[in-house]
Amino acid sequence: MAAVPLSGLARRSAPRRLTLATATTAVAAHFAALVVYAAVYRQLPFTGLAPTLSSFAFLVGLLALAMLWLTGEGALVLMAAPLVVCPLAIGLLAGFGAPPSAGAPQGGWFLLHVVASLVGIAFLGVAFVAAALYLAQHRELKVRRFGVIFQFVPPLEQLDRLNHLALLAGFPSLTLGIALALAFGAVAGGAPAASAAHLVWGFLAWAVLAAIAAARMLGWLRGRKAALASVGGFAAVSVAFLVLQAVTASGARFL
Amino acid sequence: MSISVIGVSHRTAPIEIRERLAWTDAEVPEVAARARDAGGSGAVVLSTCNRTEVYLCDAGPDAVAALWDLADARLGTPAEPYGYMRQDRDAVRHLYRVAAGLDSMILGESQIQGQVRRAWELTRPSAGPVLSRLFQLALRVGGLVRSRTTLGAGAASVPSASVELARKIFGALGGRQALVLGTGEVAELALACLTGDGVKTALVAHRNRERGAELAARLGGQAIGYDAAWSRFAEVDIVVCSTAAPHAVVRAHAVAPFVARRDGRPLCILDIAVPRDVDPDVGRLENVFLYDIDDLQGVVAGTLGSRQREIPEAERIISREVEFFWEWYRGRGVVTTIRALRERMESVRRDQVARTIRRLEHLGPEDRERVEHLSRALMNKFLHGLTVRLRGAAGNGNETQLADAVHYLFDLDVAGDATDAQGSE
Repeated sequence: MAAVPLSGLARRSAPRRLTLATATTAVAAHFAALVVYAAVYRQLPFTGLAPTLSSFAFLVGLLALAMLWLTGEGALVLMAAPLVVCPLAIGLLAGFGAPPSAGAPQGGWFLLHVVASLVGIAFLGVAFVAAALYLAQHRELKVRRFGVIFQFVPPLEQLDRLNHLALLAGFPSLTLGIALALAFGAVAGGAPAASAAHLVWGFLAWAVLAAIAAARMLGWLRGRKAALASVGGFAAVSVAFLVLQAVTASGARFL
Repeated sequence: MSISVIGVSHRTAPIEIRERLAWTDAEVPEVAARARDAGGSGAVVLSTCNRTEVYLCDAGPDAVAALWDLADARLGTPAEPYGYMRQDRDAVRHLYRVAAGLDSMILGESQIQGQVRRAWELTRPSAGPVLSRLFQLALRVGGLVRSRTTLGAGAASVPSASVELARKIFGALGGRQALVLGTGEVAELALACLTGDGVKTALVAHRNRERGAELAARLGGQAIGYDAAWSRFAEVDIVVCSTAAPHAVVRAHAVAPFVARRDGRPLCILDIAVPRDVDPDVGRLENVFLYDIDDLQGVVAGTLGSRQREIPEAERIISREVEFFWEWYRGRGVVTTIRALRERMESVRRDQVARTIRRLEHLGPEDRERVEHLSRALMNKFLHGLTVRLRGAAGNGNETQLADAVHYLFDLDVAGDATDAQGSE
């Protein structure tokens, strides 16, 4: 995935086919790796820090690929690449060993909870990508600098629409993920099967996404302000995750 | 066998000369027919505001002289000092460079592609098979260069820079609304580019009401006075300013309240006037993107700089395509010779077999067929090595000498061959 932007940057005239082919290959390879993991450990890659981050990175890559297919804008993939590479790097540092089996939740609800939550966070990541590019292009246009960023980054309104759509798509998905977790907790006797840090982070991510998506839907946020809110929100969610992961010393567990 | 081009262009002749040598669309087919009739197997005339060129196939010195005479007569003075002539590979390369926009006044401009196509379409009856193929390939090469390099990317003029800036803000421009403040030649050109991209002229504000109404009728939209214009800053997406005022007419304090009502929607202001029409403080307002003539020229300079960097790659593509064409063209000459040789040999064989069979009347049909078969097999055996070597010569550059030798040794009819070859295309 890290090579995807390079295929677009090596030559500005690089054919779109090359970028698409590189991105498709990267996402397919990532998917194959997740399948191999599931086959080896006989468990879906949703338990433990490294597999979960890898699954998240895969979803971001998949969404970036979808955006590339739809818009043909290589810059979106360029910005999405760190969101794929960084979680993978953290995962590799934590180690892709055997998943913790003791006490690990199982079942369909768990699968749905994890997928819905990861998709929601991945959409928040896409909104962040669009917002960061919006701010970069906005600055270039304001200071009248018509260099590489001006040429390479998509138009402002297109990025604003993408940010809006990603927030609108991410909110119901993350809400479903949180609701499933709460419902299971209630069914299982009122005790949620997750750590306090996991709950805090989940609610924080949901609150951030809900606040920005609602502000956008009500027309309170648009353009630069929406971009700033998206970047700030995603940064808060990311920092909170890293801090909680470090403070709780959860090691190979996902919070 | 040759391809040549003679002509004048912006590189060799001033506008006063070029405009007098430019042929209209109505004149072009007749000029091409005359050029072909002066000697040669084909002619195509490319006449634009920046160049007038005649491409000729198999034309001798007389045909070239006749064309210069035609140009002299039109100009009233000798045209040759303003012109140029390229031959064979250089002529092919020249056309490919022209089609790719490498020889254009604005490097990489795409209009020339349509003009090359138009030239070929107008003169198709007199183009002949070689030039027809050459022009079709030139269009393909032009497209190839544009798709594989960024030679055609970006804005290369102030009006197109206006469109590029607006596109970088809004993306697709269809349905966007523009307010025009005053008017000027460049502003009108910029507006024409914007409307060509789908922007709708909603309002025209002019100090002179009558002039404003006239402009509104021409550009579309509604004429308004300056005082009514400021409130419209809350609605429109693009403002094009080009008044003759000696000072700024758009002040931040006048438009700020209306810009604030835009709910974060961007406003693009293109100030093409000198002196500037818009107070620079307007550009500091939230979501207002203000560009003056220097900014637009900066976009153009950036584009031209990046286009310059693409020239080596474009030249590489063209060189490769010239060689492809030239290989076909040379091979085509050899094919003509081979065909002529086989026809000559076949004619000799037929005559000799007929004469022999007349003397051997006692032979039955089967034996006659055997004689016929033997003669044909012998001829094919004799010609096989010769044909293979001639085809091989097309690949190593010796085809002309060898073809000439074959023509001489076997007394082949050159003119007849050329006609046959054309007919076979």
